[in-house]
Amino acid sequence: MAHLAHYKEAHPVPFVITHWINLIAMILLVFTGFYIHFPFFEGWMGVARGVHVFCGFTLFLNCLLRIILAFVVKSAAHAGCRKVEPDYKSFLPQRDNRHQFGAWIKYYLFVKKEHPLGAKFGVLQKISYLIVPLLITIVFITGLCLWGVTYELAPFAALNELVGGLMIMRIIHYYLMWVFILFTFVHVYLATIGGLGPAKLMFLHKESGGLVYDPECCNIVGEDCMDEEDKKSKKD
Amino acid sequence: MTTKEICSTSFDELLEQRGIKRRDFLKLCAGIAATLGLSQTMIPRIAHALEESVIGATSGNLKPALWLELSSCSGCTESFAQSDSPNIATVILELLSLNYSEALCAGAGWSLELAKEQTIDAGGYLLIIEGSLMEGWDGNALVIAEEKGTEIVEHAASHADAIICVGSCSVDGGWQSAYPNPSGAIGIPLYLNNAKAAGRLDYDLPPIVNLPHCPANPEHVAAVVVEYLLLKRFPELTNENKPAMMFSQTIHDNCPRRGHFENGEFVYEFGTEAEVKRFCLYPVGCKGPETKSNCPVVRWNRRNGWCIDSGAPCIGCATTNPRRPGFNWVDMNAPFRSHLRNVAIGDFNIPPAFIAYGVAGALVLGLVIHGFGMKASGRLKGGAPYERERKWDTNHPERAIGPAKAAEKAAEKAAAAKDKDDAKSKDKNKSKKGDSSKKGGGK
Amino acid sequence: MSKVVATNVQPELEENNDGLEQDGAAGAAVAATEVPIEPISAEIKPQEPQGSKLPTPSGQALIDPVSRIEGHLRIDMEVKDGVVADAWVSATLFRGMELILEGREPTDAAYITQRICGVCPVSHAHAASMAAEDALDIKIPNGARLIRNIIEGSQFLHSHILWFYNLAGLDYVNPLNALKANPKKALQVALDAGTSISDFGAVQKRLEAFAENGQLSIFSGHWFDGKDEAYKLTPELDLICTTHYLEALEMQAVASEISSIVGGKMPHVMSAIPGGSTWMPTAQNLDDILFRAIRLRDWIKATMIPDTYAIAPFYLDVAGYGAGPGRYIAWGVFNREDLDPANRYLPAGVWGFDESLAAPDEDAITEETVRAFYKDSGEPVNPRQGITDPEFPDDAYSRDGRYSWSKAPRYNGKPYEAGGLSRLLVAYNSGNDFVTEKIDDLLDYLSSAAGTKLGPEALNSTLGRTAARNIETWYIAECLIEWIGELIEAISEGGIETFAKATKSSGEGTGMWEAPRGALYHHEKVTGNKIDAYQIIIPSTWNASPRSADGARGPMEEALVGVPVADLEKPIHALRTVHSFDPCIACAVHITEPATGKTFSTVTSPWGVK
Repeated sequence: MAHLAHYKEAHPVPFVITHWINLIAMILLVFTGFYIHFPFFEGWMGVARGVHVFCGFTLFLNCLLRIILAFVVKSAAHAGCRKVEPDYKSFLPQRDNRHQFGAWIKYYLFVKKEHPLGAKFGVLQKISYLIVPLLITIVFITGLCLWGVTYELAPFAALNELVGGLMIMRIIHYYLMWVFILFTFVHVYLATIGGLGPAKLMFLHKESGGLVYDPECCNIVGEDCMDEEDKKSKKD
Repeated sequence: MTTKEICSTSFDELLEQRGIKRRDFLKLCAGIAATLGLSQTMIPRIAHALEESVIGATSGNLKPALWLELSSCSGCTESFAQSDSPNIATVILELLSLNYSEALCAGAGWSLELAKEQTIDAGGYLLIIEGSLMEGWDGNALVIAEEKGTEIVEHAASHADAIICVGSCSVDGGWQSAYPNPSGAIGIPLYLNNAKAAGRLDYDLPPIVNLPHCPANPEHVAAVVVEYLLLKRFPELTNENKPAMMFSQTIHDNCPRRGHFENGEFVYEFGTEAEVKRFCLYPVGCKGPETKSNCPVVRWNRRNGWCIDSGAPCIGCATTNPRRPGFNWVDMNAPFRSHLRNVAIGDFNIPPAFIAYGVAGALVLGLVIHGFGMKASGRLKGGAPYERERKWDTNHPERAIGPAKAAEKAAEKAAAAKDKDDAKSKDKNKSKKGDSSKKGGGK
Repeated sequence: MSKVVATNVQPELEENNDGLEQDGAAGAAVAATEVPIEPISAEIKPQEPQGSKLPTPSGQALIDPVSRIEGHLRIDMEVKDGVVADAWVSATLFRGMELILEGREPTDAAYITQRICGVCPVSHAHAASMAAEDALDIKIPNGARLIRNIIEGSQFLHSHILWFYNLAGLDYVNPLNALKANPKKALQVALDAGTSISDFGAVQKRLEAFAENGQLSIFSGHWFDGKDEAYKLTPELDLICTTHYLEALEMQAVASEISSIVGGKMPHVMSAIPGGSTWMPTAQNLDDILFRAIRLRDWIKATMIPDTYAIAPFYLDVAGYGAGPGRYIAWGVFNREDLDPANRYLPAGVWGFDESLAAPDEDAITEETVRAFYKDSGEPVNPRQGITDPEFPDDAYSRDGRYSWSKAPRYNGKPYEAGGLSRLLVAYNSGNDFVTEKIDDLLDYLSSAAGTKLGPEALNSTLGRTAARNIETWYIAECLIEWIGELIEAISEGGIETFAKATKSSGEGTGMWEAPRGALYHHEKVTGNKIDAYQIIIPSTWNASPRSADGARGPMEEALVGVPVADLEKPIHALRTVHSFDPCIACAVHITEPATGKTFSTVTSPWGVK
């Protein structure tokens, strides 16, 4: 066992829900997006466009909600730890991981052999999660630019002109979709390569045991063999 | 603005500039007068006008107009010749005094050029421009009557009431400005604005109306001209100076095949049953969704046809960007059979999907290799061991936060107040379900 | 105006209708057609020149720009004692189409090359498509062949009608002179000449209102009053022809309506692509195009041809000048089912008055640039290997130096003429019945008007070129109805195929076709569905070509030599000669690329593109 315990405090229920919404919305968006890009089978363009627009708004509103919740809901900023604090802190540099950018890169590239000691999110993870809402907003806006072209609403018309026309906007929107797809690849890979614990927690809200981390002393302080206890409690 | 006075005072100078002897010119006038002299009483005005002019009267019931053909294929003139109402005969006999048109005018050579000069001199004309300007070889890629196209436009715009840029070439350089733009093609509005900004023009630019399309839709040209003549105004313009009435909705908005688009009924291959049923041409590269024009409504050639009716996907010939070179309709929409244009990287034109799939493939490959790396380094089973101490802490002991520092602090605290300390650590251990005595990193 | 046409043509329309029902669609095709060639009545017989001697000046005569053509053309002539002694024809615009095509797809080329010329875009679309089909091994289905013939044919009709009445017509017809006509007399003259009648009085009133207003509009700076006294029609014939000028404006639009129904829009049709056509005709489309074709054919027979016959006797002098090199090329146009160029409705061939008919050989084509604005590559080269760098010299447009953006194409090293006359002479010598009959009729008629026996050599003149094009118009109009009939028949027999897919994506191919103005050559090299190199040789490049290294003049320059000029400022006969070629100058200017690699590094542009 070389990973930290996955406690429910790390991902409280509201975030499990927003994550589910993100997942479903993105899959539908990508699928309908490809369909709108080239209708590879007949009969569903109207539906595809409806779903695409609906999911686009859903994704963006969900993103807004998630940002608001970050300041409302408390979560554990550290893995393997049940101490909660306002959730937004998880995404900011913390005392125990603000100097680990290089360490994480080295770790991923196998230059560094040991896992960096740290928080719920590694440095690269934090950066990429902070970029995601930004990307969602941009892709949402580019989508709006392509959606109501006849209205010529000033901001969207101006953006279309800024980039040089609807065709260019379409290509930007297309590439932004690819950024999400690529992000998803990496995200899924990194979240599952070390075991299914994180996925279980995020999707099913099920805890799994592991090392315990103490944010006070900034180090691992023990191990929580939750599975065994669970089994015991079931027997009882 | 300009009047007949200006015309008569500068006329001799003008002739001199053009290298024409006054004597010869008078003979020319006499000749015209003789031709028309059947009834001086019936046409006194023309007789008067002929004393000084090859264009007849400088004003009258018709609005004077110059139709300049620059670097063009004459397609816009051809197209305008097929206008529905008013038809071309009505335009040249009853609406416009088309004093200069290389395609239609009876005159040729110097006398035609003189007609242009006299019209410019008299002022108050519509300047209709077809074709782009060429800046290549210092403007020598386009020379008409020993004058560079650029000079012709700068001069002809000087006394115009308004400029109507007809066709995409005129609006933004059109296909001729497509990569690599071998002749330096540039649209009229951009050229004139640049010339004005560079201080080459000593007059204020007249209003410009842009009518893109390759060729210009005859009904668009007729509508703008007729509105100007009847209502003495131009239509409301978009920020690209295109009439909003014509160019603010996409072709897709008004396409008769739109229903098939929404139903998902498509043409995937030409010459198929789907074409017979007139299904939507979107999968074969129709640029209707990106192209703003009212073609589906006005149609072409006296409303008898339009591209999509002939089974051909729109190629976006009304795509335009008058302010920016390089955003012409060919570069923006080719390859015409693809949904997206190619992305230009240097000399290479690459379909966007190629790049996307390429990058995605590389990434997946990278992840797979990384996965093997994970396996090889034994990280798969439970992951890598945690470091005992942060590397940064080791390098910066004075600012370290990690175990060493914590241990130090703990030792200090322990030494200072043993009893209190004990109580605290017990509480902590309870909450963590762990054992604080078993310190240390991964196994 | 259109009302008159309708009443005039109605009976024939109905006849054709019956014919259609009885004999099937193709029945309407080339039936025995009669042009009423009445003996010229005294009323319209040209008057003998009144003995006034025309001036015979010497010096330079310059027409720049030449109007009523497509593009920008400059004609520089040295006149000696009232006759052109030498001529230099310059194209004054460079656009660089071939460079723009590189790196694009063959289908795109079919769209982009059309933009060379707004008068003959369909021909470019077809030649580009044929080059792609040759390169990618596509054989178009029969339905596509018919559709191409129909759209190409309607373009020819549009182009020829517009050219004869609205472009070249003003060299022979003086609308202002029509003000003097007596409309009643005009009616009689028209009936005598066998041409269609119309409300001549109304047209004259329209002209009077125009004249009274005093603004000259398109007649600004006209040459009607030149010292050549070249406008010889009676006021009545001027009125008739002006009426038909206005009708022609209508009819050219009707012809384009057919192109538009089949091709989306005209100019620049959309349905012509490599592999066939995107157009799938509906029943409504078919009747729309059929009855427009019939209306056009009837108008051409009732108006255009009789007009040609009526005014020719007044302009027999025009048959006395404008002789080109007497060698003709035609790549052939309008395929039959076998798609064989030699078997086309207007077949491919190379022919000269002192050469026998031969099949065209692509390898015999060379291009030279010694007198054009390009860095000279030295030797004449086949367009497939040509290397050209545009270069604008300091002494541009000088008679001794480089004076044109047009290159000088040669066949077997010699200048050849292209165009309607070339096509008809090749067809005449390949035994095309219709063409042979109508040319013989024309020559008989001209012989009787001139009082001497005229052979085909008489066609090598400004008048010959003009009249030949009108006969071609008639022939194509008849064929157009035949093709539409065939299409209807094929559809009624169970549908047509219109498109064939490419089976490979690389290759090299040539499309040799005809534009209304003459032989059109497209060549492309494709790798992975991208164009590596593209070459175009357009009819006006042949006709308006500058001199080659050996000093041999281009056909148009050759034709200008010997043209009478009484007025150095208004050399109307020279203008007629230039117009008889129906030049299309924007087309003519092009550059060729070497078969490999890119060479436009010397090209500069304001945005620093290499």
